[in-house]
Amino acid sequence: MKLANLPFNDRYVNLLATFTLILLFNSNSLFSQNFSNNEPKIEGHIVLDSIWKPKLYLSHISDFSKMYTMSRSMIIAESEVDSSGYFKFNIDYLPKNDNLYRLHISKKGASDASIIIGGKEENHFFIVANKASKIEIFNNNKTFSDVTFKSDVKNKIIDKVDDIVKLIDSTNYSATRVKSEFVTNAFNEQLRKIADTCSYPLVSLYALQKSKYEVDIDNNTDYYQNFIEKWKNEDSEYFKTFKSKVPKRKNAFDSRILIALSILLSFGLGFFINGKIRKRPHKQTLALKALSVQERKIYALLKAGKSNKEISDDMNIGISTVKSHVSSIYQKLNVKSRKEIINFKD
Amino acid sequence: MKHLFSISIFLIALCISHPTIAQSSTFDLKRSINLTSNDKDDQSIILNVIEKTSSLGLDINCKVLLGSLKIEIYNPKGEKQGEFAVESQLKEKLPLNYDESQNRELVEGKIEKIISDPIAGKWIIKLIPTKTYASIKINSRFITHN
Repeated sequence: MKLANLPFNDRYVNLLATFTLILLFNSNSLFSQNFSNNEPKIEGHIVLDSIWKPKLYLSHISDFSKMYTMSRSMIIAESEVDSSGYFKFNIDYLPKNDNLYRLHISKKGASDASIIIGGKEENHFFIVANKASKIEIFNNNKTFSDVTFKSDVKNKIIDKVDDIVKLIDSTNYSATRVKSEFVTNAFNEQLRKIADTCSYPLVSLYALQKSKYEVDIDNNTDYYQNFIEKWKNEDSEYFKTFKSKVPKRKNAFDSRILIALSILLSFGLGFFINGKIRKRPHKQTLALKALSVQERKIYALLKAGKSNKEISDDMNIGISTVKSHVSSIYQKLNVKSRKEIINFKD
Repeated sequence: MKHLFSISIFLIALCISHPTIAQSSTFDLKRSINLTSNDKDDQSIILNVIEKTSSLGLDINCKVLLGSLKIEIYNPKGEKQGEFAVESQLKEKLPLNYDESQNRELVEGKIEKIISDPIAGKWIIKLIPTKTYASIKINSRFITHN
């Protein structure tokens, strides 16, 4: 049935249905386009001189010590660069945690696995990525290593770090030794600040790595120990290597144990000394031990409150002998009266 | 009188500028080294930098076909100034039918460095091979002022 033959209401309904279908189709296309834009990838546009092959290589850098190592075994993907300079890596197979990667190109006639460090022909740069990353890259002035990241915050910081390092290198090219040292120290301090304030662990460590921290550890140990404390839950190979190079802090737990041990030791020592003192014979006991057998008998009678006469009778000895013994007892016990003898503690 | 003054100024300027123009010299030193898998020990290439050197340029290029090679640059204080390593996937020996012209297993590394006002003394380029079959080219440029 032709549309023109339909009553007005039916025509209106048909038109509405057609319009809705078109709208649905378009919205579906828009949706799929957005979905495509949200997929994890590394892509971008680069402009290159004709000396370079139109191909990019992505290498995994498993350890910071491998940053300037070139091996085919490190290359995990390659992407053609089309005539407009566009390239793209699908990265949904990458680890879910951030890792360090290197993008490089190679010269025509050279091996695909080639690294050029320094100079205008430097052929690589580093990025941090994971399986969910969406990284867009553009290069500037046909220099491959001079790149800009469109929106990825982590790699914008990486780029900033690399720019600082380039400034250090350019100073080393042209300045005197003393000026170069000053400038290098100042820039390294700036890199340490970035590492300190950055909230992405691997990016933060990248900044430290570029500051050549190994020569600074002895002078600035506290800083590095605080850094490790900040990222104590990081157990990637990158952090393991870094942690192994920084001397461990004698932490609070150790000092608490030390204090507890000291207290225990003090108590132990106290008990030991006290025991020894207790075991030591009392001064009065010692004095009693100085009495002879005869004097001890008389001492016991004196304690009982007996007079010289009663002692003389009890012991069947003369009074003068009793007096002589009593005098000797007084002297040995360092007392002056019978009352003191009665109160004398055995 | 006016001419005499101009001539005097010209002569003075010539005298002042002459040393800076003439008393600077450049010399290049090039070395090529080939390592085979029999070369197991580290090798050190020593560059003597004299006091008056204002710039030291280093350009080290290496190609590795077998094993691995690490190159490190040290200043006279023993501080590392640069390094890189190249590793071939072939670890033991080249396959009998290996075609070198195809460069399939070749790995290349290059470092360019210019050091302004370098520390005088022995700069060392250390080559650390591991069962390697490699060729290395070292170009060094010394600019001195007298």
